[in-house]
Amino acid sequence: MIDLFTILTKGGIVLWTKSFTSVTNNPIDSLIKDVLINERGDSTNYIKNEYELKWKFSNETNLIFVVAYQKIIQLTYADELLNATQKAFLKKYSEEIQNPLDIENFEFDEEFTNLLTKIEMKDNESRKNKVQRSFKDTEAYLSTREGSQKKLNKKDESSSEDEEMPSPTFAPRSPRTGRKSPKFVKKTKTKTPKSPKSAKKGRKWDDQITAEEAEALDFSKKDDIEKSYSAEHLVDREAMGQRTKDGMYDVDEMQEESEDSDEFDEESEKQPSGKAFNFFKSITGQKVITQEDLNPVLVNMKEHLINKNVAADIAAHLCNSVSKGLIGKKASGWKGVSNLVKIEMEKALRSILTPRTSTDVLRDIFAAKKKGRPYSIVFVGVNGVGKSTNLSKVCFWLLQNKLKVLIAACDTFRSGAVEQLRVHARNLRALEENAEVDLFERGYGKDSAAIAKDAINYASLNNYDVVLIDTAGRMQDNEPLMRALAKLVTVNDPDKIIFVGEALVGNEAVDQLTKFNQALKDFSGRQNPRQIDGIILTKFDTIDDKVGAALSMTYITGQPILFVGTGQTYTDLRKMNVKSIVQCLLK
Amino acid sequence: MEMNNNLIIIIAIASIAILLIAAIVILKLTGNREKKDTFIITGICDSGKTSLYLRLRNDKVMETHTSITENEGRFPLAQEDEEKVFHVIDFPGHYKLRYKYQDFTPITKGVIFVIDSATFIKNEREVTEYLYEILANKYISENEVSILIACNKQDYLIALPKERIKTALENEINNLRSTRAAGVEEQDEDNVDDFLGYENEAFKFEHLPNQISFIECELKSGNANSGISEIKDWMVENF
Ligand SMILES: Nc1nc2c(ncn2[C@@H]2O[C@H](COP(=O)(O)OP(=O)(O)OP(=O)(O)O)[C@@H](O)[C@H]2O)c(=O)[nH]1
Ligand SMILES: Nc1nc2c(ncn2[C@@H]2O[C@H](COP(=O)(O)OP(=O)(O)O)[C@@H](O)[C@H]2O)c(=O)[nH]1
Ligand SMILES: [Mg+2]
Ligand SMILES: [Mg+2]
Repeated sequence: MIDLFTILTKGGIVLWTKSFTSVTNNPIDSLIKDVLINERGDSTNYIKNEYELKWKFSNETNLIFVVAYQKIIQLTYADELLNATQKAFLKKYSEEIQNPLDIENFEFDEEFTNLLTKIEMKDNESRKNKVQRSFKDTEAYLSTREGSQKKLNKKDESSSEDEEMPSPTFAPRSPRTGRKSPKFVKKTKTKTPKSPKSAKKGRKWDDQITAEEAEALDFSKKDDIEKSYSAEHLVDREAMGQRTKDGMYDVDEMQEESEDSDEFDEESEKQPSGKAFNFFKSITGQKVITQEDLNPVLVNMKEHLINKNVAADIAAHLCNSVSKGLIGKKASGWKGVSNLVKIEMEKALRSILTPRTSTDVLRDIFAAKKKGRPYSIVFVGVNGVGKSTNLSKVCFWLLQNKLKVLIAACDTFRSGAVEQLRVHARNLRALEENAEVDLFERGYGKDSAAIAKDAINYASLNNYDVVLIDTAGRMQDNEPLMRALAKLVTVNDPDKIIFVGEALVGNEAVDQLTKFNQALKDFSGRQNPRQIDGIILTKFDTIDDKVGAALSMTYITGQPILFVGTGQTYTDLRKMNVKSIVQCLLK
Repeated sequence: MEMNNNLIIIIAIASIAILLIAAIVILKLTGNREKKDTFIITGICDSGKTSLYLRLRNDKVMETHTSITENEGRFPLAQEDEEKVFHVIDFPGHYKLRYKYQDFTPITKGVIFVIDSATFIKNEREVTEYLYEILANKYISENEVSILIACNKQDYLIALPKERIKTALENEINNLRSTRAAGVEEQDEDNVDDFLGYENEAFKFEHLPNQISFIECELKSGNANSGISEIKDWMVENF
């Protein structure tokens, strides 16, 4: 009934494997790449082509047990087989498994075959019983005297069966299952109040925006825009990216935070750490970690993450997957359980925040330029998050790199939106010598998809390198507007779809991103719909150390944060520094 | 008075002891840190890093899957001088996990960068980006760490020869350094903002201070000239 059973190390070395048919397309590699590496600790099965896979980690030995079978058969005993095999294998090789590479050959075929036969027989047995029972379960039978007597017993049976049903899992990024997580109920917006003044030292953008400058950028309010002016004061020359030796400009990276004291450690240390005996065991390296040991530390950790503005569901899920990775491990030396949790959490955070593909947008743009076509980027998001402002920051950066940019004003909805961009375009032209940037506009009320199309055509005819498409802000629940956005994307197939989101959002981030992606999928009418490709996180200057939104957003989409907006001048655009975000989250 | 004298002696002994311990600890720490004897195996997913690790360790050809954690060991190379114990680490090639190698570059003696020559054309950009990151790494360039580029999977008919791979890499690095020379990529202390090669010349590996060699290999075959012995020779040379 099963196709393949494999025992491998986390390092990727197969110790023992048995296949019953020839398995094609290496579903185990896909399992590792799609699920195991992406920290989706809560999913319990994975479907790839015609196969369904289940797996089990053995943390104490760093082994993974994987079983694969045809997805069309409802294999009921996969978990049982995994558990039994793990037990038998670890029993047989309890000593040797510490250095698995020193063993010539793991001879396990016989034991495995025995196990499998036993479990399959048991399964057949219970199947037979079920068939019999289902006959007896018919209405006719129940109406008989014997049947009515058995009614009570039957109730018991069925309820115990229910417990074996797999519980719905929280797997927001799983593209394969496509199931929507039932836990994604809309949460009320819990914005953290803006802290009046962020107290972080060393950040360049602090205290830098004067009221005057802020007003100068907020053009939607200004009506004297025709007035002649110098835009020089909008740029902090010192905060500008560096020109590389090739004459390229790079966006400055955010400054790394200095490592402060470990608040979290102290917090968790205060937790009652159980009996003194346990403590002694843990320092002598004998203690095997159990769920009970982890619970108090994880409760703390979850609380801590939520305080950092990580969406609650995601914090819970992360803690869950960390605990799964630790149960069974030995707490060794002086590392207490809480220390191990912290190390494990740091690994998880780091791998979530680390992009899974290249984030070198400039490289992509030059590749398109070589092919002689304009590179198009569309900016999407809810109202007032900073789409237009950050579009112009990106534009400023592109201009520094001597690219010819066309801004397409596709926010035909909010009054003042086009004028805002017109002013930005003029500012930018005034700031850079020989800057080639123009605005493509068609006024208000028109179909934005068509305008974007015209803009791209105009750009290729007139040798623009990049088209930046501004769109109207829309709430994720506004179906007509979401449909319009999906149309814009479908019609124009832009090179990048960038979601602009505020760093202030907490739980709301989950809802926004899932719904934007869902709408792009549902309303596209295409077989392979586009999804959000990257994120710009704005207003980073206003959140102090509550950087949780960065984690929530990358977690949900699996997409990188391309830039963070750190203020209101054109130079306030930074590359996110993964290390410092991780430090900040754990601090 | 007596009490005082005793106290002074105790304090003196204690402080000497503390100084001694501190000295030993410092010596040990710095000693360890300066001992560069680690060979790291890098490259993108499925290039054959774990396969190479297994060949080096006990000349085994085993089935492998994508690595989630690194494989690390101290061992004499299979069928080589027992005295020479190498510290070898094979890092996962997955984009999300590869950053781990950065912790080890300060103690790295040599880098083996494995390439799947059969899928190189398809993965050219990803391969080059990773290699670029390594070449631009502060410790790799400052310490002029030797780099071996192993063009693996030569048993496939469509595998590119090493000369072709070398020129393709040079062209692509030439493109990359114009978009990348400064801190667009992660700007840890590990990464250096130096420009790779000479400024007004197309990039060539010979322009780098590091010694960079290319070899062809096929790690899965029992073939006598599978290239594994050349890799071992290179490691012994750089030991
Ligand atoms: N034909 C052929 N296959 C090879 C060769 N070297 C490795 N392979 C196969 O390529 C696949 C990937 O090899 P690994 O050694 O696991 O690759 P890796 O570099 O460790 O990959 P990650 O752990 O994902 O980063 C395996 O299926 C190997 O059997 C070779 O020289 N020829
Ligand atoms: N402090 C701060 N304010 C920002 C940032 N980005 C945008 N803003 C402000 O947010 C407001 C809304 O920006 P706008 O671009 O019009 O948003 P849109 O509706 O999404 O296009 C403006 O007042 C901007 O100045 C940022 O990174 N930091
Ligand atoms: Mg706008
Ligand atoms: Mg590997």
